[in-house]
Amino acid sequence: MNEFVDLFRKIAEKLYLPMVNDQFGQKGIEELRVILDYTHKIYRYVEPERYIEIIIFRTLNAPTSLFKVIRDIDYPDYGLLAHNLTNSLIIQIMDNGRAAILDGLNISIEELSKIAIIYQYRNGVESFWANSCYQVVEKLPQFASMFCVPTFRNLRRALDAYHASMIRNSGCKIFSRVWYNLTNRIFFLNAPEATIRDSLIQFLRTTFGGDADVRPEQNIDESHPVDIKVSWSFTNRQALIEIKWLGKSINHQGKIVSYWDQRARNGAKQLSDYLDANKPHAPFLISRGYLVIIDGRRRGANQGCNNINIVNGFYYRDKEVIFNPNYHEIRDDFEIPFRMFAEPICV
Amino acid sequence: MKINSLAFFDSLSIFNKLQNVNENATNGEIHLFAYLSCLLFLYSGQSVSEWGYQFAGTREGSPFSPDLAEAIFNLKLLGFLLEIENYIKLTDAGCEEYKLLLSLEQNTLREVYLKGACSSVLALPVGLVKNALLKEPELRRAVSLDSARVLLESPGVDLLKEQFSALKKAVGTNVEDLMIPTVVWLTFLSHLPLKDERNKGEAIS
Repeated sequence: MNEFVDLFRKIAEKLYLPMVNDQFGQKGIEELRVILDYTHKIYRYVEPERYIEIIIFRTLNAPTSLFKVIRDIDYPDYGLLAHNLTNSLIIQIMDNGRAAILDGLNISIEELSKIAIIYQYRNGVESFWANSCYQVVEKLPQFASMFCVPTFRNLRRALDAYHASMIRNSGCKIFSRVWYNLTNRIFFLNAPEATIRDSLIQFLRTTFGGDADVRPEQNIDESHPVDIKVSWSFTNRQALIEIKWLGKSINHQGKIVSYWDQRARNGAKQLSDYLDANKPHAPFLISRGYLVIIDGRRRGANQGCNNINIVNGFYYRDKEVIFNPNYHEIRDDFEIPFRMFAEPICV
Repeated sequence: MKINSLAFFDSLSIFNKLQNVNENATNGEIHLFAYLSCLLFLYSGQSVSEWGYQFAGTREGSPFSPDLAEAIFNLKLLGFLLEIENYIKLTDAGCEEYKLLLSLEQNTLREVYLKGACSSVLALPVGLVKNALLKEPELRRAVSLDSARVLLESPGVDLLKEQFSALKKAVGTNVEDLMIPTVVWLTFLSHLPLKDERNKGEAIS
């Protein structure tokens, strides 16, 4: 029992909610809820990483506006914020529910926090202030803000977003561990498949809403496990995801091991076989196959290569893998393969 | 099947709250947040038998209530919910119905727990809430036994009560808003390791 109390205390000490409650009580929590609600809505239109600083606050028992307002907008018009070209954004949530965009603050954050609850995003770090106290928000490493994590209802869209935000520039902290040298992203480390799988699992689990169950390495018959299985609560739908990587890795002996287009074709065949094998084991389930290809192919990257130019590094970016047969055309349960090109850092 | 009026109200209330943050919600999320609300009811010292309907845990670790499923089915028939592809939206008529039912005393009392549970998505992504709850003692047992089972029966409830009693001591009894213990508890659960979920030893690639 005492062990649990200590654990919960340690967690509570690092969270902003108890801090706001300690400083301003229930009134503070009500105002914090308003700020969180607005922050989610604002981040539908604003990418926090575009800004050096974003401040969203609400005053407690203070005059409606203490500062010079540039304009005030209502929720349906938050799209206007996307056109903001400044590198800081300061918003006061007014009593009438409108968001007032301010010209600046003429007092410090700490001073303002004596009469307000404040959310601050500064250089990628999020924190909340209340009565001169502040608490940093524990973040998920893949996302710029804890309040702009998308919720997907469609696996295709989720995979497209995974490619754009996590793979293309190795933005995912887990995925970034696949590289032999993170400063050039030319070669993979030996056998990166488990790391790639963990990265995709974490992304899907975080972004895929509350009714999807995402699991690694699930058998689809007595002996064959598919990399990831996604099933949806109370439906008969499931997705089988097979992951393959293309490119060169450096093994434990320091030698290069290459996997090129044929590996993707083998993966397509493997997934097609899984879907067939799955049918007698799950006759009431509607299964769909998704082949994810992490493409790290580089032209002319040979033993000892430490840097690569743009022409060679991006040579394969738009070179699609030719599949034969095209399973996505001959089967109705096979999605078009997702090739995700992971960019190198070029000289 | 007779409609459970409490499940009917809870469904409307949860859709209303989740839709505000995520623009829509899914069937599974309604069962998930109703279950979390029921856990907060237990946290507040109430008996789960007073909640008004029961939950089962599926082998995948999702809570499910037949009463909620029936309520959602009827809410769609009545035009209070609109199903669009993979998600569901509360209609304007559904919002009005929710406001009307909220004025009833029995529903006002439940709203505290529903609000506490749904407020967690203001602080944590809904996927993280789902995966944290997978590690809650009752759902964890359903997953580890790989079979559906009725939730919140002894002895699993005793372990939950022990955790909640410690949680209450840690966050303080002067905390009015259930959003605080909810987020602390979910953060605790999210940090717990998952058991090896693979149903096979080695991957083939």
